[in-house]
Amino acid sequence: MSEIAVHVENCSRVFGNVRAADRVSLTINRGEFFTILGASGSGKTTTLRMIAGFEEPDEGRIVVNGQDVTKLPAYKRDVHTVFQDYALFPHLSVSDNVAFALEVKGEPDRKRVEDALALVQLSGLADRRPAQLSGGQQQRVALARSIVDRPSVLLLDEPLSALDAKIREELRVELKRLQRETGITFIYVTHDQEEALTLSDRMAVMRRGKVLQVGSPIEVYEHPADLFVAEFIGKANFLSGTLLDRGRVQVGDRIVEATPAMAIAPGRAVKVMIRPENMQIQPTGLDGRIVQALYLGPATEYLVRSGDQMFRVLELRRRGAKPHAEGAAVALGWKADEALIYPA
Amino acid sequence: MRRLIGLLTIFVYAFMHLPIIVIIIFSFSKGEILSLPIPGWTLDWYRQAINDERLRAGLLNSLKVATVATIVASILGTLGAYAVQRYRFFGRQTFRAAVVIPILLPGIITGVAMLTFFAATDIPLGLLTVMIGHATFGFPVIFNTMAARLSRLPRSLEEAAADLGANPVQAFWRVGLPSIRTALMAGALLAFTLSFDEIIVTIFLTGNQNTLPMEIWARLRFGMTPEINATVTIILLVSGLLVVLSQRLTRE
Repeated sequence: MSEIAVHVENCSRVFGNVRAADRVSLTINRGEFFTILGASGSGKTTTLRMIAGFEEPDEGRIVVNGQDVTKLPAYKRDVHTVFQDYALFPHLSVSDNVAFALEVKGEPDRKRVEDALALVQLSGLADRRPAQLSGGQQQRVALARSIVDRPSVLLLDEPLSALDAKIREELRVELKRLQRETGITFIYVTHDQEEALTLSDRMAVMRRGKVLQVGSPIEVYEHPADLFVAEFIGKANFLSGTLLDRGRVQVGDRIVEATPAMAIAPGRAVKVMIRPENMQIQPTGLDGRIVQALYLGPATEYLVRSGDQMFRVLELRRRGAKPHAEGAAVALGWKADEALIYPA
Repeated sequence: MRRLIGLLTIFVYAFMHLPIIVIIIFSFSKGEILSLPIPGWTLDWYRQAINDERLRAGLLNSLKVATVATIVASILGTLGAYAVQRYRFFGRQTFRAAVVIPILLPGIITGVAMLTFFAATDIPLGLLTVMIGHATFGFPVIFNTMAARLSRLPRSLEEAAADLGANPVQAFWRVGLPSIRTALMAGALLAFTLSFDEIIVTIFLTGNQNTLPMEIWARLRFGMTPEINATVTIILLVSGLLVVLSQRLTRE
């Protein structure tokens, strides 16, 4: 079998006059934890539903395991989905829910059902009805149900969004473990950038039906493809200016050193992006005043006003170092290779 | 003020239900005619009613008609509700409104219209035509309960079934039908009850076979007999039970 589990080729889906998915292309490798990150309306769920077979693309092809499945109905695809609302069958017990995929194939197998339930740590609840379970437990049943017959690809549509913060975190760890243990290719849709960063091997960022960037969490966070991605994932500070030449930007009456994120012609209006943790409070640099100091435990976040602009500076707590006081005059600095230049 | 409202309530209930109560009481009375005081209690009228050949034939006909009409209405109503809830098609809203008309139409209009139709098409009148007539008003009853249930049913259930490999037939039997079963039963019970005691449409469409309400109605021309009281009480009890059961199921 090929190393590519799913290939989405130039797929578009139009609803009315909205291009929910706009020439989306993605290549997802076998055994990968792949996340599609985007706000609501970004086309991430539409893309997932096209892979599942619930939506047919108006143009483009979907290839799963080397087979073109674009016209194949959902029930013939070797792909299962974990739904946002779980979609457990209310009239069936937990174990009958889990057994469903095996039953319809005509190969019932108690052992596999028990194994799947054990894998999500629900062995004791096999005879309950879904309505008797908590949200977190229901989501575990939904997981067990969709991995019981080991599909080659599992699609997860915001599976944690309906849960409390604490259970969400618990299940997040478990999802990652489940993916490692089963080796199933996971395609995970979320609007939560933290989930995307912590879970994914690789991720895609979508906006208005388009894929903006595909890469590992480190690539996407440290080298965002554009200003939108930079701002959508994590926090970012921006300086507006004009590019003088490679690596130097005129910002007001100062010249700032930074690294172009892509090829940009000199003389163009640009923005310099610096992550809060890459900004330092130091003796000289961009002058400002601390407006607010937020003590976060392991770090302190400062809001610094410089001119009419606000900057976020994240400083890790150092042994013995005292946090700067609110109202203190400070200077900000950064390394040229940690400040990225984008066309404005 | 409160006492006044209480009194009014009792009055309204009495107004609505006293005639029924009178019939129930007299069905147990020894006297041949409706008169007070009641001479004594007996179950003889029930015995007579059950042993009456023509009442039994009427009951059998009524059961036949109600059963067939309910089955036809159930199939059509379910399919119709499914289509309206799940698909967008030309004339959907009009269809939705038009479906309800048979319940609103006075029975006499349905009766005349269908009689004209059957006469024009040379279909002989008989139980079959009565069944068709009853199915027309059973259909909207089932359509409505099913449409209400389907609209509350998350779409993702069907998708989940398909997603897990169930073909459309399997998805319907294993997930679709079980999720709508109670609504279907509720609608069917209601349609059955409506058909069982329907009389106007039946008068127009039946041949020489009488349904139970028709048989009772025919006998009333010779006066109210205690036997009829007993029969009516049984019908009342059974339809009451069916309606209560139907409402229980709808609530689920």
